[in-house]
Amino acid sequence: MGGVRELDRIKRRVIYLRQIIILLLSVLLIQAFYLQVIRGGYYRERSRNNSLRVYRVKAARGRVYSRNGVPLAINRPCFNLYVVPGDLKKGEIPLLLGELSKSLGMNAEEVKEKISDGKRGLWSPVLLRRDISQRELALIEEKPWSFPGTMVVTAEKRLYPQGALAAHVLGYLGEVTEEELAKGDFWSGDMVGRSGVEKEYQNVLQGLDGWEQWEVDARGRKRRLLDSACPVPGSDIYLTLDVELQRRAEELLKGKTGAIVVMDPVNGDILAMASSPGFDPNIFSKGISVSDWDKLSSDKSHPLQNRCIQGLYPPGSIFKIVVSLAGLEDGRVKINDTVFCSGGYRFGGRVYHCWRRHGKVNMRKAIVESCDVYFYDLGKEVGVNSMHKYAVLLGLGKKTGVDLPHEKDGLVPSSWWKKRAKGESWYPGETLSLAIGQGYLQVTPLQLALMISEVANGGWRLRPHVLMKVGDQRGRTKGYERKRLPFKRWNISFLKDALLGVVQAPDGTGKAARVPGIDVAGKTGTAQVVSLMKKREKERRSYDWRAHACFVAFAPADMPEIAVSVLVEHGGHGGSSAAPLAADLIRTYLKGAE
Amino acid sequence: MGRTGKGRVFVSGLPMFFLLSLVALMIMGLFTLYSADVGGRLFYKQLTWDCIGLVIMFMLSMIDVREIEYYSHIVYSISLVLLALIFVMGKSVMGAKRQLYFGLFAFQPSELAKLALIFAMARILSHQDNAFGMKSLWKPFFILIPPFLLTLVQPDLGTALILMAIAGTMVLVCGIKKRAITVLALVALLAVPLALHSLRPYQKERVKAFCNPKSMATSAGYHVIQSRIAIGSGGIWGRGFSQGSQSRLLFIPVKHTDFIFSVFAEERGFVGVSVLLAAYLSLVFFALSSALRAKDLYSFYVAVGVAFLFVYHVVVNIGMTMGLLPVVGVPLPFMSYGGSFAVVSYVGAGLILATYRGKGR
Repeated sequence: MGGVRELDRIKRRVIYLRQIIILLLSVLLIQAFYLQVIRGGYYRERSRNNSLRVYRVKAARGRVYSRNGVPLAINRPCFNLYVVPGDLKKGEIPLLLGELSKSLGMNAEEVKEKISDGKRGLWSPVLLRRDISQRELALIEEKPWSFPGTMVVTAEKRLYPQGALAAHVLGYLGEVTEEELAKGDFWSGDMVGRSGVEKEYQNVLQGLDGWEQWEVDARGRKRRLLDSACPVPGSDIYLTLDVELQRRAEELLKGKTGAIVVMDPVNGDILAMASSPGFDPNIFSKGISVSDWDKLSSDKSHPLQNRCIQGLYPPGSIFKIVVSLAGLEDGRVKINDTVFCSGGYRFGGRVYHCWRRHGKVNMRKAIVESCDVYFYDLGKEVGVNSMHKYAVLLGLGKKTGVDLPHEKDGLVPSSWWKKRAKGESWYPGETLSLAIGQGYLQVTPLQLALMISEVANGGWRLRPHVLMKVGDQRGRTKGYERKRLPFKRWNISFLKDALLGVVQAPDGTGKAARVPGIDVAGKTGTAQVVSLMKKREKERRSYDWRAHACFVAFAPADMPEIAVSVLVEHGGHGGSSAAPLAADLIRTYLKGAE
Repeated sequence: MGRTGKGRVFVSGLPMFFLLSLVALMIMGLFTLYSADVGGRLFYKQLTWDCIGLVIMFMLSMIDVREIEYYSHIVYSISLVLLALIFVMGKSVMGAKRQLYFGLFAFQPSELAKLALIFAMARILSHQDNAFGMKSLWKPFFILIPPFLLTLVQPDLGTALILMAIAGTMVLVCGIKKRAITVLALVALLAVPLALHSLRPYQKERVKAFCNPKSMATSAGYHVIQSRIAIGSGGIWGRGFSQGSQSRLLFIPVKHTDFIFSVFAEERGFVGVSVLLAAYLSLVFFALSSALRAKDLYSFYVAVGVAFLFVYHVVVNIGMTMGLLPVVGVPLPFMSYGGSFAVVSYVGAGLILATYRGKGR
């Protein structure tokens, strides 16, 4: 051991030790000063951001009612199953996946993808299954340990209590897409209108979401409610649809492919709009499964398509209304001018057939008996561009402006249209085809309903619509424009009288639309799918090549209350397959269902 | 106490300033623990440990430190045996085996190893006449390496490094030749990459997180970031008792042990941190002045060793919570929850008191 002097020498080193200690502790103090005093505000803010979360409180979606207040789309409480990926321990994922596929029949791969996606952080819940059933809920609550990390949240689900009724008008909901999310108007998992009224009035129906500000802990659990704003529920809307009429229209189309539009010719209210085949919008509310979607979208009869506004058909003889009006308005023809129908019309080295030998016909007879030869002659007189002008005036070949999405324009050809679209000039022979509603001409059933309504009401312009009013406001949301079409009243009166004859006269083509006690006026149409020249092929595949049957009608003829347009795909002759449906609807509406 | 003459000497012979610092630390620790573990039992458990520790401290303050020299090797051997025993019957906590269970309580042999190392080192150093050269350096290495390796493989990198730092400081105080220092520095420099290479994956992650905390916002870096947010949000005056949202909402990891300083700093602010550091400074300075009063080298080295036991724990722990050092599990003396280390801390304080009183000089 060293002596006292040695001890002193060593002890002197303690002075250095003190300096080292002061240095070390000073570093700590300086860092604390930096963090707490200099950057204190910044870290206080970060601490706030750490623990404050804003949660959205979904606004209830507005309900949809018929004009008589029958609920068409309402909300029902449902249970949604979520998983919080951060709550899952490593070994628990296979357990959860196994249980989900066993008890709920879910695809383990899909679920795994959802869990490990993690785009929105470990602690934000991921929607596993929308609207689990009572039985599934009981399963989960019975043995929560088999479903680690999951939680069941109550929410609202869209319910269409009438099932498939008016599905094409109502539309359906779908989950928001990534692109819509990127725009920032929606939250993940939101259901938005994808078609029909649900889409058209999305902004009215969706309401304004509320929010809640919560203090959360490091695991994202809510601890304390700090602030909130109540959601504003979406407005209810009332449609112009008449449920009884709608149901009848859909019954009439059952087993057929086609479309029916029933309109109030006074104001353009759409009383019924049926398209067949249909679908049940309820399957979309749950978040449609991949297989269901594939089945619907690959179906050759296109059940999702609303044929009333998206189906394009040549109107056939119905177009003769337009040709007559064009001839009368332009002064090219007098109502008593006659043409001799020998069953055919020779033009440009070709014979254009009529479906019968009519003999001597004037305009009235030509309309009532649907003589083609008369209209070949008149069409030639009037010309393609005049027919185009009057067709467009009556609402054909352009969107009617109905408040439903994805409406199609259709096509009414003109000479300049052909030049632009086909790069060819208009052949005179095509004028003859157009005069009997064939050729390039394509219209929607709604356009036909609009046209016949505007004739029925004496030449007032209409804008068809399905919305009657929003919420509990008084009166109607959409009025109708009081605007006359530039037609002479006596020409319209003559046409209406001729159309009455189509149904009521002994030789009329629309006799099948007669309703005892009611004066029904109408016009038949047979839209050829192929020209008669391909007769052989037509016989081979008889259904596919059979003509579409159309019929337009209004009643009562003097004071019209209802206008109907019926189209049955491959129905054959309009007078036999479409007219009885129109008669049924007119009877249902004016006399009550029997 | 204080009734008999002997008792009066006992009380008056104690330095009040040191005791005040100690009690202040103890109270700050208990308050912080109460707030970190609301309604839990940790507060009462720690209170019990503190009381046991104080009793041990007063008992130890009456002994002659030189008597320990005789038992140094025995304590040292026992600690090695216990450290080795961990491999046989240790309980694994979060992937590391560090504790032994004796019926009611768990015991952490690595805490005893710190004291044992100080005793054994003091014994070697007090017999060393000259400064250490290349030829004599093997002796302290011989003492350091067994406990160092045994803690390192637990794995408990923090404790192992602290053992090395304490031993190194004590050797430096004893004196070491320049040539030896140069060689040691070179060896250390070469050892760094090797050491980094042999780190466990989680340790590597912590080192990476330390170098760039923002890039690891979810795993290792997350703890440091949350701890810094807690400390910083305390500001100058702190957010008040039990008002720290970082602590209350569980953003601070292991907040009752390794990160208790973050809880304290959030609630008490810069003012509280200054007081805390001042308390540690006075504690350590008192230990060094006790060392200076020692009449023999053994007591002197023990006091220096204990002083630096505290210094390194404070610096490593607080430095880690503030993001100055990588995260290693090192407790904060008189603050962190934990029985073994509390007892070791009070034993250290008792040894300092005993040195100060210099009984039997």
